Amino acid sequence: MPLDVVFYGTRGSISAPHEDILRYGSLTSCVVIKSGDRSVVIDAGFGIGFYSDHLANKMGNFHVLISHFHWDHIQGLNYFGPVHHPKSTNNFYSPFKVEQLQEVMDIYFDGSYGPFNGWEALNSKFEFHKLTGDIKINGFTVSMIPLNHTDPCYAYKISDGNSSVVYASDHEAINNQVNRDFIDWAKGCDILIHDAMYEDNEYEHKIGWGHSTFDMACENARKIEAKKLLLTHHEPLRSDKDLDRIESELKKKYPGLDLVCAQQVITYSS
Amino acid sequence: MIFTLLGTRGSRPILTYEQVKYGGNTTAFKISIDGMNPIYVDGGTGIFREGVAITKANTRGLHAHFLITHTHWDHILAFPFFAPLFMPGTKLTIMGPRSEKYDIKSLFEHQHNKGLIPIPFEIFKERIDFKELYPNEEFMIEKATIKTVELNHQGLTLGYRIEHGGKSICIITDHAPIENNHLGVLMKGWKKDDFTAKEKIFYDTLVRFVKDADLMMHDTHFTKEGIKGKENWGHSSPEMAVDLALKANVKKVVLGHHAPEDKDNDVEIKIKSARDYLKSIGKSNSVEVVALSEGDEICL
Ligand SMILES: [Zn+2]
Ligand SMILES: [Zn+2]
Ligand SMILES: [Zn+2]
Ligand SMILES: [Zn+2]
Repeated sequence: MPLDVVFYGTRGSISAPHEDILRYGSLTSCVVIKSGDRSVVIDAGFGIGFYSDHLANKMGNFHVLISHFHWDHIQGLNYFGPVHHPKSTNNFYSPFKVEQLQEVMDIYFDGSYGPFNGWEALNSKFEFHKLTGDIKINGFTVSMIPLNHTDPCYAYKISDGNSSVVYASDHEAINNQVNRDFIDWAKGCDILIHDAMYEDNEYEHKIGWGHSTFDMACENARKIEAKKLLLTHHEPLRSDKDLDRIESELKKKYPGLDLVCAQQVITYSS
Repeated sequence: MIFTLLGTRGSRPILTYEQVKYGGNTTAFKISIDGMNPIYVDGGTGIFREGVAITKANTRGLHAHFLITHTHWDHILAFPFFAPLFMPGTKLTIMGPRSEKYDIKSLFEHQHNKGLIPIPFEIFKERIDFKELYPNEEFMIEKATIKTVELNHQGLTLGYRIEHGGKSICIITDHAPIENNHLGVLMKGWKKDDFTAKEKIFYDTLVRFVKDADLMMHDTHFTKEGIKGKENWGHSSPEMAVDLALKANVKKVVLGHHAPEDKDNDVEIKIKSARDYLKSIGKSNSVEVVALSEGDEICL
């Protein structure tokens, strides 16, 4: 069975909704990987609320992998319907210490920042899991490796039988050991989801900020020999028109690569 | 005095094809007065594009005041990405209520802790002055008079009144009905025997606060039907906004803090429901009810 990838949040840093970004979307990071009726969610930016809007049933066992704790990957949590459903269990996974994940939730769900009383007071059940190596989650095999970012951040590989999806956001793909290890680890994946926040001229001012250019993402995809490349973590203001233009330029420049700039709600299949 | 709506979505940013007219950015307003630096109310995602526009137009930095209604995420989350804060000449005064646990400065600082925002708070420190505000204060920002009032919402939430040159603007968000619904942290001390009296004092204070305002932006997250059973969520309906406006002789009501699930059509239903209500009590000409799109201005 193929793996399906659906983005509900494609933006980095901040959501700045505007009518010129309706197709690619304005919401911060959230991707859902599906195989039939099984799924795992990666990251919980505002996109996870939008995903919840599409969920017919908010009751069940949900699985959310967290790449790192920057707000654009966390800030949508309260708007994920299952966290308020008394019969739901929300499993959160990351390679970080459970206490660290809980501490982030403590800040996010503090009564100072919303009509909250801490995450423990939410109706649903929260389970925290520290990932230490390959693990089976909801029938998928999940593995991880560190990325090159301003704070510790991990890539995930989700495999199901013959197909595999690699999610690598946020990542600055410079020629260092972290990136070389990442390339070896991701080798031959079917779908590569890669941070591509900047154009070259923008990157000049943002070296060391922990994000890649479109070219860096394409070069990585080429080295990884990924069958499909989905570019994400779009710069907050980048318009649909500009992403269309960039995508067609990249297709000319990298004819061997099957690539797209990720749009929200479209299903990409392996 | 010019009122500009920068964002009026409640809870979280969103934008689908059915929401383009009223926009998807969370709460932020701008008040511009001739010969003065701008006054902003709240720092939801609505200030992000405003910040970018400011840095494109000038390179000297921004001098401005922010009045924060309360520190719920949808009202403050864009500050770490507010472009003028990265310019050396910028000086912001951020004024607002504390939370039960933390002072206003700590609440902003926390966003940067624990690797949650990749920008050290140190960069902002010298560019921001924080000032804690409480209900029933009155003070000046340059030539404008600012007044505060307590609203009914989880934590401590302030309504603001901005006056200048004989004109006045009131911002009443987030805010819920008070009857048997005491959400504010300062209401915790209310005794059961006093409820009716306390509620009356609270509401009368609010009526006096918005009295004769030329414009009142009011939380209308819910519809008349939708609020039933959700009064303790901390938000209002168009009918509540109209009632307050009528009692206080407010000239114009701007509906806002629309729910993330509200389509443009739902917002239009709220406007109609408010106007129908006015008509049904023979007061159609007493108050004007509008909803604004992002970027819309009202000159007073
Ligand atoms: Zn990010
Ligand atoms: Zn990040
Ligand atoms: Zn709010
Ligand atoms: Zn609120």
